[in-house]
Amino acid sequence: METVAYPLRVPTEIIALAKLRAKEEYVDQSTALRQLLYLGAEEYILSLTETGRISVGRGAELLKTSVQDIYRLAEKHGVRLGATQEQRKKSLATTKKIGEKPLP
Amino acid sequence: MLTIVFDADGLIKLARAGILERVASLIHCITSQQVYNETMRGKEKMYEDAFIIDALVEKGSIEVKRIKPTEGLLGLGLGERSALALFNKIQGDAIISDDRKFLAVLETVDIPFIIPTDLIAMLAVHKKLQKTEAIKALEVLRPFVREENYTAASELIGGD
Repeated sequence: METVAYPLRVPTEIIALAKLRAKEEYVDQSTALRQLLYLGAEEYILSLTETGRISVGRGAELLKTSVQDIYRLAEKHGVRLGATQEQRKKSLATTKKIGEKPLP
Repeated sequence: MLTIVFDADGLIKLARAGILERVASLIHCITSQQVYNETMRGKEKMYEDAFIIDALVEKGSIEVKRIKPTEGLLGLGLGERSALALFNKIQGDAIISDDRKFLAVLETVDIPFIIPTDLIAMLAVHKKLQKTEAIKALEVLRPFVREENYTAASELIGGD
């Protein structure tokens, strides 16, 4: 993932958390801080996807990950992604219409 | 033969449900190069669905087309934008997807769509899938779809 330098004031409690994570995960403190940031971004992307503000594909692009990883994340967080009831009604109407055409 | 355009969501879910090959034998399945590339990223992390999709593309059961994605659609990825452009170009019968945002865009431009759970139900109703196969496919998809959509499809095929 491409990175940029960004000036940021971080609460001391978050730095303490990053120190703890750095020890537990055997990574340096900056990496631990980036991991915490990424975890927050993952949750935010999931909420945007769940509410239909962005697509799964766009979410995967923003996190530089695969679509399959987004599903894995959603499953991990107990988030169900998918069509709304209104959309499902439209899907069903299309299914019925298309179902009239013969299948081989 | 029906022509259905797939986004990554549609391909991955039907591959996971274990019925993508069957679907490809009944329906002309077509997708964009960008969607194919999107699904292939799953191979890096050994997601089985990516290998299933790749094998079907290799076999020629799923057609992959190069197309310039539709521009100016905020909130959609390259895959969905290219699937939309592909549908507009070939004038298929519908798009398969269960992506809320993508479906919302399709609604605004009046493009017909089918969600994967409904497709499974339709195939079972038309006896192109055995009831037990369809129920099994829906069970596999259950953690990845909204519960109401699982239940509705399940009721359509006469499951619980």
